[in-house]
Amino acid sequence: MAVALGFVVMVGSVVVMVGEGVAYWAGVVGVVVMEVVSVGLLYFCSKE
Amino acid sequence: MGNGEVIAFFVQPPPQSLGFAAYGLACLSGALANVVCDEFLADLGHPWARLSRRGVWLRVGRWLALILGCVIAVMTSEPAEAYARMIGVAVFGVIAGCDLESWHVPPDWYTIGGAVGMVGVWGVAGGLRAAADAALAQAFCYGAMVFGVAALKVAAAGDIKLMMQYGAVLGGIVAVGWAFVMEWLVRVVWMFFWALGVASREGVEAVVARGRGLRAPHGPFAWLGVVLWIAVL
Repeated sequence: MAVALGFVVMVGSVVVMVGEGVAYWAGVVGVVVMEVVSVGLLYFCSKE
Repeated sequence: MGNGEVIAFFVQPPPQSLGFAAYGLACLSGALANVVCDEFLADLGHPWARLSRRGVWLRVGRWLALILGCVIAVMTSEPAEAYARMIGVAVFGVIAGCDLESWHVPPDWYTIGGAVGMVGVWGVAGGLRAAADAALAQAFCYGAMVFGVAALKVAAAGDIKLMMQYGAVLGGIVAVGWAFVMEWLVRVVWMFFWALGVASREGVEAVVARGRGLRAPHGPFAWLGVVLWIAVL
C-alpha cells in the first residue's frame, strides 16, 4: 500500500506540475496528503 | 507552469548568477558539520558520540553530493532563487553530515524536518507557488525512491532521505526530472564499467551474481546528473 501510494505520488507530482489555477493547488494538496500517508505507513508498519 | 513554459524551460540555457559567497557559506557549513562529527563528537562520550559518523564511503558520497549541489545552485538560479537554494544546500549539508537519526527521535524526523524546512525556505524566498513547486519536487523524489527501493530493488532505503532533501533543495520538478534522466545515463555508464571490471577479474557469471545485490547511491548520482545536464546545455 505504501509503495503503491509512493508510485502514485511520483506520477501525480508530474501531472500536477502542468496544471494551472485550482487544479494545480488541489493537486499539490492531494500529492502532499498521499505522501504523508505513505510515509506514515512506511514508518508505522515497517518491520525494520 | 503551463505546457509551453515547461517546454521553454527544457530548452533554455541555465542562467549564470550569484557570487561565491553563498557557495562558500554552504561549503563551510558542510565542512564544519563533517569536521565536528568526525573529529570531536566521538571523543566526547555519551550522548554526543552517537552523532559521530561511521562509514567512510557513505560520508564521501554525501560530501560529494553537497559540493555538487553547491555548484548546481550557483549555476542554475537567478540571484534570489540561488540564495534560497544555498540555504537549503547548507541545511542539507549539516543534516547529512550529522546523521541525526542517531538521536533518540523517530528515524525519519530529520528527513521530513529537512524537507519541510527547505520547502519553507522556498516559500520565504519565492512565495507560495515556489514552496508548492519545491513540495512537488521532493514528493517526486520520495515516490521515485520508494518505488526504486521496494519494487525495482535498485536503491538502498537510506537513499529516500537523501532524495527527499535533494528534491526540496532543487525546488523544481522540471529540474528534478532532468536530474533523473541524466542520473540514469550516469548510472548506466557507471554500471557498464563496473561490470567490465568485475568480468575482467572474475568472469561474466560473477557479474550476474554480484549485480543482483548491487545498490548504487541515487542521491550523489542525481546531483551528478544535474551537473552533466548543465555541461551538456
